[in-house]
Amino acid sequence: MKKTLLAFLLLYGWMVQAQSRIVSGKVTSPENEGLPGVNVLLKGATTGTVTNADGTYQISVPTNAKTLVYSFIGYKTIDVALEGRSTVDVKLVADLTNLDEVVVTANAIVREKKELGYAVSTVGGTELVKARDPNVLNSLAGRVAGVRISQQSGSVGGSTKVMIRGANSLSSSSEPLFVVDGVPISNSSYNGSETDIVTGGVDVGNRAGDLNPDDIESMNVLKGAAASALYGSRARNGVIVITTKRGKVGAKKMNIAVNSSYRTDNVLRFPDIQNQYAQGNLGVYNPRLGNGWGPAISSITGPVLDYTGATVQGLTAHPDNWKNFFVTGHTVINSVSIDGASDQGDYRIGFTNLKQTGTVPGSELGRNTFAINAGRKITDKLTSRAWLNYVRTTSDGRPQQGSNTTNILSTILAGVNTTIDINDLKNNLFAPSTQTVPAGWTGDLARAIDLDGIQNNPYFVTAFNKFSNSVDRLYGGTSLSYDVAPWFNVTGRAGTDFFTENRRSTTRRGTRGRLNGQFETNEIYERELQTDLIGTVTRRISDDWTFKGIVGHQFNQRTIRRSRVLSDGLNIDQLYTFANAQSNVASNFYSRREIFGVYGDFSFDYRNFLFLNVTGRNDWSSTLPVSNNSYFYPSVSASFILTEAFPNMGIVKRDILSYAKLRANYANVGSDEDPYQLAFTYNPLSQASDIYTFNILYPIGGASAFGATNVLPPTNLRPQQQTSYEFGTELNFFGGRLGLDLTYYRNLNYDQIISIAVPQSTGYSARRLNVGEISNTGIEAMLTVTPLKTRSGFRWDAAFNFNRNRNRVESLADGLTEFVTTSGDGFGIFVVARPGETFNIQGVGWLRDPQGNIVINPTTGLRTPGPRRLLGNIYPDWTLGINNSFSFKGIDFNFLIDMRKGGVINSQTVGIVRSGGQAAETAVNNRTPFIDPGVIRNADGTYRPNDVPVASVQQYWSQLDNSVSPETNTFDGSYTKLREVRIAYNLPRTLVNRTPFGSIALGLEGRNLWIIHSNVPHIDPEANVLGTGLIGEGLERGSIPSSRSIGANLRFTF
Amino acid sequence: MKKILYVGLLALTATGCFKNSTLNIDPNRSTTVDPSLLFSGASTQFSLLRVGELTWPVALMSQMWASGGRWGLEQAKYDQTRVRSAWGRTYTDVLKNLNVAIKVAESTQPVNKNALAQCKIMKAFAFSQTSLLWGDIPFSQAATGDVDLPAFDKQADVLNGCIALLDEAIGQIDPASKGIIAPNDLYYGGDMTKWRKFANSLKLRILFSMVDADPTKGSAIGQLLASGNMIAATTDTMQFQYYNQPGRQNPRYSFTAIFRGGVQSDWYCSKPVYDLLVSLNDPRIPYFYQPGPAAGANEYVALNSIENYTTRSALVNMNLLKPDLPEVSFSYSEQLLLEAEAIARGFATGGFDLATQRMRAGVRESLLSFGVPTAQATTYVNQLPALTAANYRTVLAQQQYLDLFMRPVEGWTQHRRSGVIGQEVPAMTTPAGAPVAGLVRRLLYRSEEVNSNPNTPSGLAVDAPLWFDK
Repeated sequence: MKKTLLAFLLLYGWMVQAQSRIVSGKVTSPENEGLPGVNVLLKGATTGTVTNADGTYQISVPTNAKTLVYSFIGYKTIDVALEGRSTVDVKLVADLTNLDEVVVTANAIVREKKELGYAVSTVGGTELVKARDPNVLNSLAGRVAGVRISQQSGSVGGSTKVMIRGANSLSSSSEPLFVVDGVPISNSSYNGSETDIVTGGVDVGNRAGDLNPDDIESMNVLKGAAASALYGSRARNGVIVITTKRGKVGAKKMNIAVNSSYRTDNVLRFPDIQNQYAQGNLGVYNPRLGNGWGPAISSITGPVLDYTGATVQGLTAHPDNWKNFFVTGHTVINSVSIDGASDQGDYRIGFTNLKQTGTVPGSELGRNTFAINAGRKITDKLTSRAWLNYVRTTSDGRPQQGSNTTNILSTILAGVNTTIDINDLKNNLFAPSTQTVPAGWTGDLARAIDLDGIQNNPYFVTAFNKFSNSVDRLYGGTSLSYDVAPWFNVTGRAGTDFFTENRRSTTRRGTRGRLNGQFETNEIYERELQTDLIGTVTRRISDDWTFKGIVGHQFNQRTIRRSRVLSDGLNIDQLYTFANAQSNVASNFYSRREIFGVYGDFSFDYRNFLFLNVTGRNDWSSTLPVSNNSYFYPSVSASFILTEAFPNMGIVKRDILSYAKLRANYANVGSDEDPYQLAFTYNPLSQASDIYTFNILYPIGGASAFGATNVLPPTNLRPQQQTSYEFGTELNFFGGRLGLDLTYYRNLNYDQIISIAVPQSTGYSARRLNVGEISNTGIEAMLTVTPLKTRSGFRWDAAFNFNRNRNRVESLADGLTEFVTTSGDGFGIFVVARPGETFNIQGVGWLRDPQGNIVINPTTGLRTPGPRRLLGNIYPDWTLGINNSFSFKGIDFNFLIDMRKGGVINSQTVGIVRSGGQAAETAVNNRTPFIDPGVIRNADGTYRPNDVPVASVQQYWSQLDNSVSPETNTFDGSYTKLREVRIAYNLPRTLVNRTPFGSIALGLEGRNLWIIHSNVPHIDPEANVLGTGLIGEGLERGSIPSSRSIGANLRFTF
Repeated sequence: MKKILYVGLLALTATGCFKNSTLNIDPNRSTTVDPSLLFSGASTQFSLLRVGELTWPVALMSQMWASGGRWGLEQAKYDQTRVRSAWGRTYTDVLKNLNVAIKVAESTQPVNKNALAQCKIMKAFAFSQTSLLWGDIPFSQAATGDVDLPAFDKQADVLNGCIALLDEAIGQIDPASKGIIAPNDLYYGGDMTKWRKFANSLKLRILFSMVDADPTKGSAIGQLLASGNMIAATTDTMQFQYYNQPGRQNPRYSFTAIFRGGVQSDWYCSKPVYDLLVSLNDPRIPYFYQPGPAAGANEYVALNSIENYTTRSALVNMNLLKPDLPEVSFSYSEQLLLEAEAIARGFATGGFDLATQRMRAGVRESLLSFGVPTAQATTYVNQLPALTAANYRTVLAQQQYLDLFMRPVEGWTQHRRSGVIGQEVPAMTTPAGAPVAGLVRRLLYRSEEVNSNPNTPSGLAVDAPLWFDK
């Protein structure tokens, strides 16, 4: 228990003053290299220091001091008896079992890993900076058991979705809570509603992407409710606990570290496009169209009109249009940090600059991060700390995705027939007079990729129709800690995270489909404030029992303010001011919510091998009805270290079973709901609308307007609930050569607060109430093995990270057979929850006979759309990450393979390139009509095998478009990917010592390198247009293709 | 020590129960409202649906206009996926808000009876329109939020219910006092005399839609005509005004302005309508249509419902798609033509002479409203055949249909009631490639309603006639 306390104190930068005599020495690795940063503590006291860059240390100890404890993550902690010596050199032994690892858990409480009755995964900061991804969350992919990371698009600064142990809610996304140094931070995305996203949105990223990998000391993933009970409601989806770096004692007063990376991004996968057929219809050439359904290009030799209306002699294929359109993206990240520490305090200042250009021409992202973290010992009993991070992110030219606006790049590209030279479009942004120009139009007009002038030149879109944003964000906090008595500490902490984001997206005058131009301005302000007051008591009850109790009070407040102006019709071209617009529609929004919480956490330690922990928390939330706004939730967990309880067992003694731990927990978490959902309200209306979006703006004829709410407010609302239990074991064999961490869990979410659709004829679209149960049951297994380890220092480690989660909708409201969680209304695709199933994609399927054969229309030879049905589960059956690392004399080689089995993805891009006759498969066999396998219904109701060829290949593929039936564009989402390859080289100390540097490390990295296996044609199977804010995945609509990244990295210290 | 801490924590927490907190009071929305603000919202939304979302698909599938394949030919083949929000918005944004306005007005002392009447008249208008498009619809249990799964009432019950609602409203009107006034009354600026005229005329329209299926409505029509108090001048027209200001323009103009830079190239001249005009030597042709850009000066090339356009194809005249044109809900010409029909069919007295007189007056009003010069209009109406027992059905139905050229919602109802199935005026044929054998006769219930309300009738073909359609 003491050790925990010591570690706790150390982490808070407590350096107890020097006593009377000095012990010095050097701590080295098994390879005899000096180890910097090793904790050197006096056993049984609060005195300690840290080794310098070369591994040397000095510590003042009382004259009667007996033992020093040396600990460092990744090495076995050892106790060394002083025996009066003043010089003690120590060689640490690598520890594969991490028995004494400390873990930062809820509310910045540091615990030893062995105490924990729940599964927790840690990723050290050094892992994050070896291969730096602009979004640090991507670095977790495949590394953490029970956590699924998915990058949503290839857009610069795009969002990354994190899901821990499955989906927990029918009505909100299951993103975890992010906590930095004990203070929650925002991971909002504001990527828009489902309609906004499906009809053409921009992936603006999620705010957790602001985290700077260079400032992170460690990331801990708390997966279950027991791990996170103390965070309250938002922790039910898991918590990612981030500890930032602090100043460390070094050889010099000031440590300087520099890390520089350069990386290139290229599109991982382009659609396979045919290059034989020109644009047209049923084999007849027509430059009014941009598709691929014309005649063979080789058949056109004489003079014809091209897409611009100019007469050309024959047509030529341009097979590299897609490749030529996308460019190589570049990322440069430079960071520098200065830190230092003494027994009076510590400080660290970091600065990181990131500059990235994307694979879409003109798309770019910039980010500057300043981080300051400083602690000070005021008196022996009182210490203080303050930390602050300022992040400024700017981006420009983020591409639109989705399906319904004039600016969707991949939809446009799918309409560029191979006879159109993309370079011609690049060099000629504007329409020639031979193309359709609306009568009376003056000024610049986008060149179209079709003679009718419907689709815009993609280069016009990237040059002028830009989405840009800037985010100014500040997060940090301050704490004060006071030792009332040696066994009683009181800590107060206050932290905040706030940002202002400004967005603007422009559509230039002359854009086809929006001739008069428009622009949208968005301002988002978000602020979170949290205070904690925590008392900690540590008491040894008897020789066998130790007690630690924590009680705390928490206040949390969250504020959101948004304003948005849509400005339509520009008088002067490219002047994006409100006064230049013919109409401005403004809307604004404000919300604030608060929670008061009281919590307690009590743990008992029996002889350092049996640990019992009980927690409880009561919350009062502002968003629930006053009569029901208080809710209590408990958790209990236990951990038993078998190997320490029975050290004399044969297999333990012989080190066959080096470590064995059993853990179990049960927890309940209550949660509140969104603010302002309780009253029957009237909304001031800014516009009336129909599906054509030619909205009528109020006031009209001088009249303003209001509308009553469309959601019937709830009565007697209760808090939402989650209960969960978990069993697990950690086993280590042969001194750590073989390890297994196995967890079985189950959680049940009930009394969910959701808006259930009611028939529109009631006058309302939904009713809000407590309803619905979802469960997740799963297994997480992490198998680590060291197949090879030689005396010469060569070492091969392999880690297998297996997750299997079964998500199940247990029940919905009475009589409700289906709940649409996300609707692609009008596009025929829905994500639905049905009792007894998980979340599924639903859409019109093909008509089938009782045996399941597709029914073919005997006149056309084509399939027939049937009723809507479930097209597949959106979540994978299991995922597996396989990481192999090889190290030899300072060289680390690492590769990670990521596998997903099961789940489906619906791709509209596939539908578009196929129905447009652009996909390679539409051009096979000279487009000879064929017989589609299926059956024909006989007059007597029986079926016979289809013998009618399709009316035309064009009609066959056109019918497979999502708008007819999404079934054929829905694929098994299984894949195997080479996710990451990394080579790191630490220059030997002997070499470095001759330079002014303290250490030099080089790295090469490749990410998202190779789709080894996929069942989805044309696209990367990981794409998802819904982003992080909406429920569901597996929908791809005009996504920007994902990137393959290759980069290098140089780190050195002075 | 621990005790002190507990006490401290409890003290801190006592402030946290939100007992008298205003924190969860929504700063973005109101908990009270003036009924007139709900009324202006419901009216605007209703007009927008009529003039926008319900115009194009209905005009194309009923062959009043032709698409020329500019947006595909599917709508002409009865594809109704573009009538996506009209059902829901009529219930949630129009009828619900009218019901809430009535509730608020009834609970405010003194009760503003005129406001109640205005809301009820709009309700009857919206319910009857919805029923004439979809057939059996939720009525008695609809748009209140009180019943989770509203029953679908028979069309006859809905339309009778609308008549009762109108009678109730007429009984509450007091022209001497104020109801919902300008600017929130976007139709009549608070003129309760005109509201009473519209209520009676709307009753007449509803009765006429019913009379083929329920002949007893003939005498009701006669009584209604006898008591008068209906629309009697162009100044009585029930219409929603649009303005040539951004965001307040008639959406029919916005469509062309935004997508086509102001060049009308989407709505074409439909052959059955054009043929009828030609057969009548009707002066409205150049007012209804404009020649295609590559066509001669007076060359009007009509398209059948599934023909693709060419540069010679005639288009719906841009003058009818101007930004400041009102959405007409009930016109004086419609009133006169209905009166002519009532007299010709013997529901009201006067005989064929009076019927002919009313018809000619009605057609004249119609021509003038489309911009035909007075002299030309007078000449045309005078050469129209006098109504007789043999010709009145055809002659009147032709004129009633043409009068509704820019009002497809009413025009489609007129066409369906103009003759027994297969004998409609003007004659039309099923477009090639349509999924059913007959003409389109109903809108299909939207999936949102089908999926959430088990009372929704199922198994209806798009050419299955509604109750009124005899």
